[in-house]
Amino acid sequence: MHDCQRFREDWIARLTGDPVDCEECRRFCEETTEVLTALASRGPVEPSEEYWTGFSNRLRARLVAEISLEHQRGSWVRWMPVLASAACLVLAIAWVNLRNPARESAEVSISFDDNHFEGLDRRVVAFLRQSELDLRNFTKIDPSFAEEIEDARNRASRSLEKMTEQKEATGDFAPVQITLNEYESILREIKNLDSAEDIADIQMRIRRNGLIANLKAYQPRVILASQR
Amino acid sequence: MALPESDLIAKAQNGDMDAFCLLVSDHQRVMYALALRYCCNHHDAEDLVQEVFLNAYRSITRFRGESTFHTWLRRIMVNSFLSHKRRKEPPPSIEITEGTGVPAIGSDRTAFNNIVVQQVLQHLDEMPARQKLMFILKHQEGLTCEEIADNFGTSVGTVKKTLFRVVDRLRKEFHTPEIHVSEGRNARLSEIP
Repeated sequence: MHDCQRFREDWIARLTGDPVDCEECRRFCEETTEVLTALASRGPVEPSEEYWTGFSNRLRARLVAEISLEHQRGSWVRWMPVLASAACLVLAIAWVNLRNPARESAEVSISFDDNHFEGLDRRVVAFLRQSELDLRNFTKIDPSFAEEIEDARNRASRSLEKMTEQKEATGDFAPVQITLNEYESILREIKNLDSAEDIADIQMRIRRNGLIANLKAYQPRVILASQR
Repeated sequence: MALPESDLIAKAQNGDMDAFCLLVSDHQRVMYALALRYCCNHHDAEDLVQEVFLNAYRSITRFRGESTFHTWLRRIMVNSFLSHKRRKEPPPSIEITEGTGVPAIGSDRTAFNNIVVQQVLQHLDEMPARQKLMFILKHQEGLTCEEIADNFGTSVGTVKKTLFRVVDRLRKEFHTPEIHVSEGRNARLSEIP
């Protein structure tokens, strides 16, 4: 079966010939050919030989400047062994001071606290963690990067597919239900993005409504404890 | 007698600046043409090409000959182009004066094509650098999607989608609305002989 979008991408990439029986694609190819032919009709710009002589001279001047800079850097390099030795000495002194038995040694232990969501399904916790990462990534997308936007849309689709299952697994955790509802509406907007202008708007809403913080609230807290 | 490219590369890797200049002189015209399409102005184009060659000079010792020198240089070009800081110059303005409305004879087709080309370049100038560069590499240097994907470190599918978006946008610019020229006359590209 003829897939217009796929055909057009292949046709532009010159991986396929002209369409046989699709009127829309035929018109697309004709119109595109006109633009590309007009563009190809402009021959390569050919500056004069004098220009190229000047170009070579300017390039040489920049290379000479680059080489002299390297020499300057090189003189620093000669001092590097001395500087490295001095740094080693400082580190050795610091190490000896740290090993001094008069000092108390301190050990840091890390533990995770999950009391605040005891009973919440582990799959939901994992989903919230992944959702937080996805949203953080989305807020950093540059609207001009089409591939990243496409990736975000695909991720949103996949997350939406899991949403019903996650809501069921949430059980009586009302705040998590509310967070998932908010997240779901954002996901729908990301999935249906059709212009780069909408991205900035969604990104601002995510920042304003604190959704990322809410998603983070039901994840284990890291506790650092010093033991003497 | 001119030295073969491999000898020039070896000399350049040993710090021979003359050999390096000879080496890149074979590529400077192609690079300049691409840069000019990319920047739309001569000053930026020269600046950009020189930046590419400087970057190449800095890293010539890392060239292992696993690809052709031109391919290697083009990878540096893609990175340099994408990270290039543009001068704050407005894009070249296009003024359609009286009498350049609907051309009636073949010779006017060339004039009309020139206007279309300038408008295409202006529209390209408004597009993201990555999309614009992919389009130029495809339609200026005639690279395959595989080669472009290799230069950008991305998939062939992404290149195909990007090229489609750029071309489709240009097509819509020229075909959905009519092209307005002075004195209120309109022309569609397909109406031109």
